[in-house]
Amino acid sequence: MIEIKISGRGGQGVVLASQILAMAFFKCRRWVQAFPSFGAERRGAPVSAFVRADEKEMTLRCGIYHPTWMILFDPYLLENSVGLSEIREKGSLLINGREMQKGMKIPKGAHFFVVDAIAIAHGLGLGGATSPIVNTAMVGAFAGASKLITIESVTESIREMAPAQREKNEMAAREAYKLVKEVVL
Amino acid sequence: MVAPGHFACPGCGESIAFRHVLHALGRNTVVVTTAGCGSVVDGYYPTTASRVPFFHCSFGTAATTAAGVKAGLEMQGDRRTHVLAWAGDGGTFDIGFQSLSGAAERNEDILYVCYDNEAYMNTGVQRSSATPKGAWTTTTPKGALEDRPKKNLIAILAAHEIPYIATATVAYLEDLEEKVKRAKKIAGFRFIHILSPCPPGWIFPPEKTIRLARLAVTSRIFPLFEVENGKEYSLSPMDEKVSVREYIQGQGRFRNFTEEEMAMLQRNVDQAWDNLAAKAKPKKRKP
Amino acid sequence: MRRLLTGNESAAMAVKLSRAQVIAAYPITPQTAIAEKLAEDVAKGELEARYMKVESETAAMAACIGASMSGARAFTATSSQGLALMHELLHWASGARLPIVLVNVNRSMAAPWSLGVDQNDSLSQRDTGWVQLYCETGQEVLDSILIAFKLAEGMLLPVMVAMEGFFLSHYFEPVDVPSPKEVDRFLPRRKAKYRLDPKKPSTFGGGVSSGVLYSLRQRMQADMEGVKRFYNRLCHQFEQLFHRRYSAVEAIQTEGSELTLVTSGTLTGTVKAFLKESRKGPKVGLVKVRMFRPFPTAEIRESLKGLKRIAILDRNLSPGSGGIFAQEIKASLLGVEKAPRVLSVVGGLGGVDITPGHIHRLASLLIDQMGKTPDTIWMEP
Repeated sequence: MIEIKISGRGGQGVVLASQILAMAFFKCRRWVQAFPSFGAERRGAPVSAFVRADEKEMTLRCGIYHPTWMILFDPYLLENSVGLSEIREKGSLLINGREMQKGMKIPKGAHFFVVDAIAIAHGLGLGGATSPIVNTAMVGAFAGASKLITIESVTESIREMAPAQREKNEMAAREAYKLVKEVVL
Repeated sequence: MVAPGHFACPGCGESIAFRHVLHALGRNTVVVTTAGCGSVVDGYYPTTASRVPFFHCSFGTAATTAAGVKAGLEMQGDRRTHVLAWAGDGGTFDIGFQSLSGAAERNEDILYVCYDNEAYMNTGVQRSSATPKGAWTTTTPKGALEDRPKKNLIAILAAHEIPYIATATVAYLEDLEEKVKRAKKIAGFRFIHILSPCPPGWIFPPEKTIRLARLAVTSRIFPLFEVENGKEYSLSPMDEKVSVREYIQGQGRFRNFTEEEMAMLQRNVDQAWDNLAAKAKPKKRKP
Repeated sequence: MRRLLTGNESAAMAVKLSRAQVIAAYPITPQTAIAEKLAEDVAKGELEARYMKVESETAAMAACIGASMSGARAFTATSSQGLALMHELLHWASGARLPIVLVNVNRSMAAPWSLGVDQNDSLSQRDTGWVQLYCETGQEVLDSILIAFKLAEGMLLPVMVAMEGFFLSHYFEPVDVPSPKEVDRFLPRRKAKYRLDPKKPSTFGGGVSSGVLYSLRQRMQADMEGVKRFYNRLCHQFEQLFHRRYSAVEAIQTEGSELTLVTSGTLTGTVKAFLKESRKGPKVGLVKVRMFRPFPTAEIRESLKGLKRIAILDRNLSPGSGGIFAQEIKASLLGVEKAPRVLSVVGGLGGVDITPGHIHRLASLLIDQMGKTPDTIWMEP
């Protein structure tokens, strides 16, 4: 069973990303669950969403506390104790950024991936200067980093679920899939 | 009166209004608030942003609960503390309407302020009877946009012959505070209607809140005025009149407005403005 | 066709497939997506219905009562505070024998405000004469609504389908969505025998004598018993058409168990996951209660027959008494020979999360406690 935690800020499309990701896993023949963090939300506040995927049907229904993967849309969230220690042993972290942030304490044995989703969004004109749309790029980057889902399953899911600019969002995912890289610590 | 760190979205009209209403009322105030942005913005246990006593009541009972608080305080010898009912358009125009009318009709001695962001914003932008015609909300989506005019709550409350009614908005903060101070000195049921632009719900960038509030007034879609005893109307100082287009085009919720609808809106607004101007007479204000 | 839907979307989908004709709903977290999706379906012309954007939940139920009395298929959805606001009218709807279907998204009651889940809202309404069904999965939500309309219209009693806030309403998961044709075959249009019709004028709901009221209540109780039988027939029909089986009470690997947990709603799924983990130690079984009203006494007794010990997990609390499923299950076991020892556990109130780990620790604790009969045991959060 794979458990994924996606963290970002309200308005960044974290919940939609979790559903696109779940759809991609579903297309790769997994049973899935996706759900948001519970409670009132508002623009700009930290928000998380979760995905579970498994070969067979999952019956459990509860929160995810030790994700296999953590995906961060906003690297500055790390300063707000997003809880890197939650990552499962030998789990992985994917951040929207260029390099490791100062003060980041990555658990021993964990893998660390980066992708500059902001640059990809700006390059494609996705979203404004201050609010680039990074969620589709991050899902594409996850596919590239984890190899748990195919890029096609991601782009198909984006086609079905993106509310607007489907082509650009697909391109963002494809670019991020290629550009994501592991940073060896 | 309101501590920083509360939960309002960037550009929230309600939080600006609340701060200024409390500033004008002063520390000797008790706030009663219902479900809605105002309740959530104050924060979650164990923190609160309000520096005056603050009570959360059920969705439809703001006016009555506030009246109950006032009655209780008076029976304990406190006739000085101001009781403020702070509710959104949902809790005032819709589910709270019975409670509002009852308290107004009995002339309960409270100040009721409705922060109107023109939909159920706290639960994710569903329409209320304060939602203007042509607006998008999640329950008036494309293909079924809001097709009823905004409920004329001021006319309804004027018919209750309450001592004081005023409209205000966050682009004219001195005017807003003056009205609160004026209301403070009057006994009986007082009502202030504050238009509170909402960036996520009206769909505009958060830095444009004040500008939009000003346009609501200058377009005369939301004119500023007062009504005393249900009969004496007086206009507040407002900037020069502009076309409704300037207000409408800045908001994504009106994205589907046709030229025909724009023309009709302009006609209706002009008509309503003429009616209001005719009712109002210039007032000599005591300082 | 298998699709990914949240619980709320599954509910809206079921209402659309059921061809509800009048929908009156008022937004309340965590139900809002149901109201929004149905508004969208009606706006797009995908659902031919009148959507009433009512001013409160009292209004929502009043509108449903009117619509149902006129002969139309009526639906509403709400949660916690909203359901409580409907209380007077819930009695009205059942007394008027109206086949309204209501989806309640379980959420804790204020004060203080809480968006977390527990079942107090729907269970508080257990005496109002509504059928109550509790769902575990999004699939079950969709299917239960289809069954609910048929059940309601067949027995002329309103039906409440309860689904937990967030753990069901907001969980995006695979759901088999039947085609409109398949649903039409199972659920034909409503043909109301008693309705407001100028061609056949009748008066409904006027004052009655004590004797008449008494006999109406006797009939309601008899019809509630009839609901149990009709529900079983419907579920059989449903299984034939859709290959999914539902029953009022479901026993899951109880044979030879040292301890059987009795659950309802999403907790069932988490306990199932716990049971799948290979562990050493005493054998633990599971019984799921799907129907709460009418209370399935015979099925409860049957599923618990011969078991040594049971622990009822209640995600609800009747203050001053204890877990509500526990109260009713204990009552149903009165007089049964060799009834199991019963423990009552309360947990998860306010949406406090319960993981397989919690169940593991609970099971160990309960096995220890079995010699004694403590009062309500509270699960550690």
